[in-house]
Amino acid sequence: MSIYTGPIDQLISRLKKLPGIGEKTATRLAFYILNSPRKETEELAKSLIDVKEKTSFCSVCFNFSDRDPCKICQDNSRDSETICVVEEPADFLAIEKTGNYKGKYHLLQGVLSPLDGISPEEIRVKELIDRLRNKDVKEVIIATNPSVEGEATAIYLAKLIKTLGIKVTRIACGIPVGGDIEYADERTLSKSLEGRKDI
Amino acid sequence: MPLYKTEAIVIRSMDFSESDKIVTFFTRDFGKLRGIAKGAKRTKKGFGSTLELFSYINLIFFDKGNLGLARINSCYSIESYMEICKDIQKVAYGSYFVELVNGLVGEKEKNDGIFNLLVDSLFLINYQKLDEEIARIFEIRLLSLLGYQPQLEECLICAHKLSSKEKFWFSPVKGGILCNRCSHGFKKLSSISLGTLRILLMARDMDFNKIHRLVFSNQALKESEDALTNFIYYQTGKQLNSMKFLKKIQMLS
Repeated sequence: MSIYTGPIDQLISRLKKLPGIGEKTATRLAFYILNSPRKETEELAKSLIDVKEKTSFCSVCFNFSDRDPCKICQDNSRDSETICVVEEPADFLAIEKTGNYKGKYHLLQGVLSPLDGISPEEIRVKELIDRLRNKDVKEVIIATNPSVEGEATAIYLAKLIKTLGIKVTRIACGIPVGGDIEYADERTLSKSLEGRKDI
Repeated sequence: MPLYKTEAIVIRSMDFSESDKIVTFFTRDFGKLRGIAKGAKRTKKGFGSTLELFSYINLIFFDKGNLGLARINSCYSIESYMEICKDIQKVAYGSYFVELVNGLVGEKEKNDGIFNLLVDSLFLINYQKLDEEIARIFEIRLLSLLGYQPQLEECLICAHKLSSKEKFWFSPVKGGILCNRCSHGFKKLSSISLGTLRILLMARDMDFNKIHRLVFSNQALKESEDALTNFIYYQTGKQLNSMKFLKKIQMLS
């Protein structure tokens, strides 16, 4: 039981609910907030309210955005004939950070998972198929994680998309840059051999 | 903290914290075991795909011996069942197997038979054409190995042996079959024919190496699914996520 009561205890218990934050970190953050200038705390509180009030899903790609359609979907300089399908916003950010991809995105907001009971109806599969039917898309790049669920989702989507006559590609899997072949497991090595290319 | 080594199958893998994973294994020597793999999501840690669902590995871990999380030191792949990932139905069946084991087996209850059944069943769906029979075979064998074996040889009440003249009913509550005369007054019964009972007994007792020869008729598939899934539902008290997923996928395709 916490030795603090009232607002401090409340703040610590709320912060503890955030992912990756335990009792000690929550206490440290609570005291940082308590000691920081009032203006800074008000700004933090306002940002928390704003992010809930002003952010929603883009109706095209289902990324979080403060406008609809989002900045990327509105950007005419991007290649609208290529769509990269990712699981969630963190994956979108990772691909965007590379600076190498200039197409558009579709966020599934999850991945098919029998153990968690997540079926195609629970993620944005129908919305993707509707989007592909109505827009002139030449290629769909499936960039789900190379996990069992991610692979199964990729195969499932590929089957559906191919019936629309659209080219489907999968991001390459294999040895990471800076990695070591000696320590790679058999599945990673097999994938890297399958995905080899001419140089 | 002592260091242990055992064969294991990954039956659940969840992201935890920034780059860690909490993984549930079914091991040959220690039964069901939960452990934390620090930094498992970082590529340089060397876990690679060994902590993915269904991976059959050699697991090296530290454990204090209580029921807390073990600390996973390293893993070496024995078989990664790569073909399962290429078919969503195979993933669903594989998930059903591991969810059943995770749900029905207690922590640190060693059971060599169940371990072999899981390895062999994953091997079968990985390398062979997927047939619905495998789910029923897995269910009946797992129930027997766990001590929940349903009585399929004779009526639970009057001990009337199987015969073509008698109609039998399966009772999930009683955990076996009832003959027509003894079935009155019991609820949630499902009809089960002599052919279905005989094939279920073969599925339970046959050498697993020959199990792929077993072919269920459509009637046997339907009746055995009704009987066994209701029985498992009665034992676990919940409908398994992977079973619900499987039904949805079958409906969509």
